[in-house]
Amino acid sequence: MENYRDVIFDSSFGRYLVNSLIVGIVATLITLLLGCMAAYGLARFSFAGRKTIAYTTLMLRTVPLAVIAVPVFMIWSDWRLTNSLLGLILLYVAVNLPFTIWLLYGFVLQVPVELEEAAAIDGCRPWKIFLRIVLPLIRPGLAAAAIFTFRIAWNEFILALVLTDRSTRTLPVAASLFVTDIGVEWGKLMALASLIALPPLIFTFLAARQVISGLTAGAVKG
Amino acid sequence: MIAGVELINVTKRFGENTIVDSISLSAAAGEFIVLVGASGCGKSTILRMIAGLESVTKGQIMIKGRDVTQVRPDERDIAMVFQNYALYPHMSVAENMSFALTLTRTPKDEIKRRVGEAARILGIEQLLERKPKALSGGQRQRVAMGRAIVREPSVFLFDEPLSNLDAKLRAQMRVELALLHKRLGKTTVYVTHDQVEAMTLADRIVILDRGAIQQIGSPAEVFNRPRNVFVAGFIGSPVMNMLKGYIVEEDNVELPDTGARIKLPVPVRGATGKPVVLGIRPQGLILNEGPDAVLHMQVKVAEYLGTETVLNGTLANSDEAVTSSLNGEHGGLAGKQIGLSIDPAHVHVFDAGTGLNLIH
Ligand SMILES: Nc1ncnc2c1ncn2[C@@H]1O[C@H](COP(=O)(O)OP(=O)(O)OP(=O)(O)O)[C@@H](O)[C@H]1O
Ligand SMILES: [Mg+2]
Repeated sequence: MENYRDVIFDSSFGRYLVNSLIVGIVATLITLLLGCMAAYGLARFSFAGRKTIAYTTLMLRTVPLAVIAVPVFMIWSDWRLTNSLLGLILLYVAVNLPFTIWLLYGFVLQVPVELEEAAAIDGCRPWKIFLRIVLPLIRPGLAAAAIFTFRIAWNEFILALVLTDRSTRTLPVAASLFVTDIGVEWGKLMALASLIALPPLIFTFLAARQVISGLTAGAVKG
Repeated sequence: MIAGVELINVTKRFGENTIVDSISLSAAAGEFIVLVGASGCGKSTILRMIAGLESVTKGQIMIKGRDVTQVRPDERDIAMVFQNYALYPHMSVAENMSFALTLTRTPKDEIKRRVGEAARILGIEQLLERKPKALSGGQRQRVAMGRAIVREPSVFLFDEPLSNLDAKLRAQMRVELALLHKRLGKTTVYVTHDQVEAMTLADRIVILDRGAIQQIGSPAEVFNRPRNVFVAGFIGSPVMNMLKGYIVEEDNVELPDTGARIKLPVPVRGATGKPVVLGIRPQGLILNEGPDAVLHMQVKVAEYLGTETVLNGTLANSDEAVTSSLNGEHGGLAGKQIGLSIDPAHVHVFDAGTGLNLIH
């Protein structure tokens, strides 16, 4: 208990928590926004190289993060994005976007084209079709993608360690500071670790309620 | 008078393939037009061009005298019912029906009135709060029609709206559709490959083959005076018998295999010796066990359907397939050889080369 108190009332815990929340939430929102638009484009409009893009996005996701840590640090330094939350957010968006696109692509394909045509006849312009018909129907996909993205952004360590400083540190990096030259502060480390695990759990629980399969059931003759 | 829908030399190509080939067609205001044809002949493509869901490669589409060829779907004053209904799954029945009206900011009480009225006409008032997934196929069908009615369009477009229903429900919805059309009196273009739907619903039937119109006419016209072999084979059930032969003495057709001579209802002037296809509806082949039978048939299968029996087999001493439809129960004829005489009212003669009907 004492360890929890020490961790929570440590002057910088609050800041790290806010950092982590900002990074996790903003990265998730941007990823979803870009992901659903890209997935829709891939699924509905034919253009040269569409198949290639669809597959390479998935391949990209198999690259381990540690591999890109060094090059990313160099580029981010050039762009003066190191030690800022924005740099971390951009990175997490880039890392999560391929999987999100691929996931949502599958969900968009499940939406019968006739629904969009019916909406066009009913008076929806393309943007409205996307907002009023497609988005509500791929909500389970959005929720699933949000869970993945948020958890990666929240838990990721190596890139966060490389790209943050004292003021922009996220919680996993902060936890690692309890591993010091003169020994590991196991009590505090464990306390912080369990605190870190909590938000993703809550978030997953909330988002998972949106993942109700069969949302398109009833659109067409089943 | 201004036509409800008019197609002027409409052509559609997908890449190199010409799917619809310079079609011209005019539906009078209030007319019920049915497009029929085999799968892939371009029916849906034509309907989708009228709806504005598919661009027109060449030609013009007019709705109520207005050129809508380049107009967006929602501004064409049409409503469409899709084969799979295409109901919005995340909206209730009432929301589905009122979606178009809310988009045009129709006043709330006006929406309510129109949805209520359409629901009453279709008998779905108690379903208004449900989601589509909680509806049966027939109910979804009704909601899809309701969504079209609520918009009060000038033209209704239907793409095989009944093909997903079981036979009994289909027959029932067919009658309801006919009543609905009578009641609303709106120009309707209806696509089906079911000729019973075509015959029962249409003011005029448009028969299509490979993107071209084969004939336009009332159900009685296309049945009694098919313009060519394709129409004759497509309309009528069971399918018309087609026998190869040639004309002798202007008013007879001789069948080379059997040597039988069939008298034509009207002579074909100056056509002696011409190779033809003799078309006889199965209803025109009548059981005749006497010595004056014109044709002899080896019956293979006898299908008893309640009011009639359909005999399938071949001409005796030939392998040309023939079908006869006899009134009453004749299941015992299976496997037997029988004599047939011919009702001239059911006889057609087609040019073996061009396929055109030579006598009607
Ligand atoms: N977007 C498209 N690109 C290429 N070819 C197409 C496209 N849409 C339709 N076709 C082709 O056009 C032809 C006519 O299609 P259409 O859907 O109009 O047929 P249909 O008469 O409605 O058939 P069915 O009775 O099976 O519904 C088909 O050969 C089809 O393959
Ligand atoms: Mg079709």
